[in-house]
Amino acid sequence: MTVLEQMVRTVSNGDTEWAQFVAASTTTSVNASGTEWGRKGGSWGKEGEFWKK
Amino acid sequence: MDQWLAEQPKTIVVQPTTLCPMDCTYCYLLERHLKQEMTPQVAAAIADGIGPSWEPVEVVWHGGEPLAAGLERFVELLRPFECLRQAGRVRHKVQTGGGRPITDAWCDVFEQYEIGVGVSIDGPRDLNHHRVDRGGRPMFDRTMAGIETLKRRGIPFTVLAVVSQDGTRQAAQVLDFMRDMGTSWVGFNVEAKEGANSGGQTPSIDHARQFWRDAFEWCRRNNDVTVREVSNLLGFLGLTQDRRDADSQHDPIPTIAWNGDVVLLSPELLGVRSSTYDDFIAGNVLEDDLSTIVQRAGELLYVQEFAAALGTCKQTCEFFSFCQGAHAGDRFFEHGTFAATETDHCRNSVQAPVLALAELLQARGSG
Repeated sequence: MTVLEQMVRTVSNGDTEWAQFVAASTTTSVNASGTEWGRKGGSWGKEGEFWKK
Repeated sequence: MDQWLAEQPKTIVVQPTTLCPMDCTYCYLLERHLKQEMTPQVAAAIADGIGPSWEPVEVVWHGGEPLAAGLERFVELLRPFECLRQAGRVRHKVQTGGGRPITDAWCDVFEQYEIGVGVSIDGPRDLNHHRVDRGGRPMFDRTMAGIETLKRRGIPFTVLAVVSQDGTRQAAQVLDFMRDMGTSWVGFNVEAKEGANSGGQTPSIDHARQFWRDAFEWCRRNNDVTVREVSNLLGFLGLTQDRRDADSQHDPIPTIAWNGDVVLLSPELLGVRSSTYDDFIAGNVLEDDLSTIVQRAGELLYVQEFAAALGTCKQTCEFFSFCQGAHAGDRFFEHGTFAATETDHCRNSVQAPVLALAELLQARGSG
């Protein structure tokens, strides 16, 4: 299991306060596409926001 | 190639001038001391080359210092895009480092053309010392004066901040400053060896990890500033598994120089010389349609190498599903080839925040 998969599991289980915080913070992203959430490739981040200096 | 590269860009970076009056210690721009300015003819060629089938694109006016082009010239460069902007097919954004004053006249232009404004500032005065003018004088007061003008005019602004080694222990102090300054969004660029900053001091992953841990903790206590990297990672963790596992297509990000030359993948490649990669130039908008230049990206050696390296990244890196293999330029600047995989950017801006949050997630108690 990768560190990211472990994090997803921890958040899903919600058995630490941080896990609960992250779960609450990601609620709005469930319906967002991967692209909109910063997985757009290249040197640029979330759509509409400037990545580089 | 199509597996990794989008056919249409969502972002176009435009260089109205190479000149920057500033001389930041970590700057990657090689020609920032030269005054080479884009003509309206080049701007018109860019606008004409925006494909009719493209989704709305963000046109980012970068530089040099974009405001150093001068207000009148800048407006001349905007005009060819007006039909596109009014049709909702183009949105403008300008990223200024404060090297030229943000005046009310500039604010009028920002409002008239609905230009999103990004300001580059690293934090409070004592953490902004890398940002100096050509005489070595601190830029802090001048940058803050511009921000005050934006605030007085009610113009929202985002912030880009560079995290150098000496700033890695100051995340909370920096974020307090950003919040009090009035921005609602900040992106952190951990200093990297790029372009003219090939000898720069890149923070270690341990220092970066401390920075991101502090940033996460700050964001848990404060919800009035969005931190790009925090938001991206939390968003990723909220995706469904199929979306987490899906590959993204990289934006080709055509970056157009003052003279119409186009480089792809990374704006930092603009102005960099390389005989191996033909200076990364994919074409010139005065000779070829921008859409055509983007369509033939796969013919370029550096794009081919980057695409191949992405395959390696996917096979070998446990962080790939989150980062998707960005950034192309860092591979070249650190390793001299796009075929390389892991970079300082990977370690400091992908692995470090992931590991910092992973550690917090495991912590018992209030954390």
